[in-house]
Amino acid sequence: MTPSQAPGDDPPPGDAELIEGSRQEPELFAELFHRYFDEIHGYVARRLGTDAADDIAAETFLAAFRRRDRFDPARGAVRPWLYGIATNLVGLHRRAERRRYRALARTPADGAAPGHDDRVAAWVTAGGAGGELARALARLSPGERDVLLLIALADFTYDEVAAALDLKNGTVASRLNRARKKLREALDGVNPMLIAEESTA
Amino acid sequence: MNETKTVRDLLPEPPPPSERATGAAFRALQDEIAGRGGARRTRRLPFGRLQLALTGLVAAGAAATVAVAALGGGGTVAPQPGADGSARSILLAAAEQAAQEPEGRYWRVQTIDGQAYRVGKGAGGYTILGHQSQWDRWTARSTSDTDVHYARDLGAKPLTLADKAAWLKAGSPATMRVWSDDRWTTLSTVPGRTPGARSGGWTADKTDPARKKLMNKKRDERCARPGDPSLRWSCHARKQAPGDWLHTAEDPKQVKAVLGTGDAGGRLMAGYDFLTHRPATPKVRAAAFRALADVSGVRSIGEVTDDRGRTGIGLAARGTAAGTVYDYQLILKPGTYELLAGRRVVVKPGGKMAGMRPGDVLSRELVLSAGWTDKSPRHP
Repeated sequence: MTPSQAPGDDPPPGDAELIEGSRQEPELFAELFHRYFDEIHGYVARRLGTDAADDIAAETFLAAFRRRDRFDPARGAVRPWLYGIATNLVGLHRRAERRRYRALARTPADGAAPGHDDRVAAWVTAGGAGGELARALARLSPGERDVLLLIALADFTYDEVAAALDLKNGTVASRLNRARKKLREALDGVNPMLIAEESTA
Repeated sequence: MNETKTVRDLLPEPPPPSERATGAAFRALQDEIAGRGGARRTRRLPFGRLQLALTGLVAAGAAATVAVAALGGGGTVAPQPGADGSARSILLAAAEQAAQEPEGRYWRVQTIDGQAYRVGKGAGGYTILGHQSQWDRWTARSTSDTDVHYARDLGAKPLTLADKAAWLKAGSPATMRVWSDDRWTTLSTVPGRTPGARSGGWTADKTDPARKKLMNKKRDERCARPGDPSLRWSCHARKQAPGDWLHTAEDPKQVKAVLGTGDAGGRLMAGYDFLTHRPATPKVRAAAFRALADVSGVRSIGEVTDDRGRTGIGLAARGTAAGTVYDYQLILKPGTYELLAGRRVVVKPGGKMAGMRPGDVLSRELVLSAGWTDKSPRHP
């Protein structure tokens, strides 16, 4: 999971090497921005919307830069570390995040509130179960949600989630299990057929 | 993994960030990297200032943060035109004093910094001091000793009693959304909870000799290999950086360059930062005071009280940043001429800081203690 770290030769420096170097030469940190800003922005946008993502993704890199002395390559790669910082910042907006999921949960019939089209689209792609799913997502504990979304949205392994959130692997596994169970129950309660179709699509 | 896939579908991939958002984020990061980060929160600062306070970075550029304050006491803000002979004599006396200070293994500085933000508009608004960190920095004179910088976040607090009253009236919010130059950010009164802030408990940043050596070696290697355009700039910047303390601290002739080429306010600020944060020898510190004595536009403003209630000798110099005219004020301890505080006070608001009022303190750093010691770094 650790990005390859070429020992100072021609290939571009690895992420961890950039952080290490940036402790003496802060400008090197800018390269990490170019590598990961879009991705982090996308992750936050999926949780909080684009406007909040503009702020939080920017803040993530500022926070990461200020904390670069505390990045420890032994504990994981740079990418999960950045996601961890972003996730903590998202955590300061828990209420907004829950509101967003509850808004997603409203049926299309609820009317033409802002974001209506997005909602319909989300509903359709989520196999019609979007409402229940979004509601269930809003009901997860913050810790469960963080783990679940890092796996779902960032495609992380357990190790990476553990590194990002500074958790033990066992904690990651148990949180993910709880989260999946809660979502499954919510989905089963609605329309198992649609889910089954969706999963093979 | 049905559930995770369904979640992915529920939260579809958004469009890539807009150019505007990416640009703003990158500029913010570049400001931070250039050491203007904390400052950027309320305004842009002239190039060359180092936001040591927030980054805790040894190798960074030159100046530190400025800062706020004047609880109650406040300095003289009214303009007092012209260079002032007594400012020069004060600085020369400080130079004499500095030359006699003992030298040691570590330059140890304890400070509290902070940035002022305005919350709300009009009469109900108040000023809050955010990104307040307490620092205990031990910077080794020798590259074979480890630098240790201890720090903790203190949480945001209303700046003055009047601000506190307005804050209480607003329901004593624990978090406040504030506009910082070009975007919104959130401050928390709880230590460690402000995004991007340090933890509320003391933590230490260490730079050990092996890392110092490694970094220097890697840097030299990289700079000797000018093939990579992303590195070329950084090597160039290093060469250009007048505040590179590793060299400057040894060479009194270069001290003048540390003050930069900006206006008097900018130079006084750079001088404060150098004198407070750089592990310079007594000789070099004396030279820095003398260089400041030669800056025209530095004037004496009489007795000034800092926001710990300490009264000292005030010096000020006028500067302009982002359309706002400000006074940079230094407060020196009578008798010993130790630096007690540096702060920036609005004289004529404008540009991005148009909302501030004359007399508002933009940022400040309080020096609790500074000096050479032979002790080894210890947690406060």
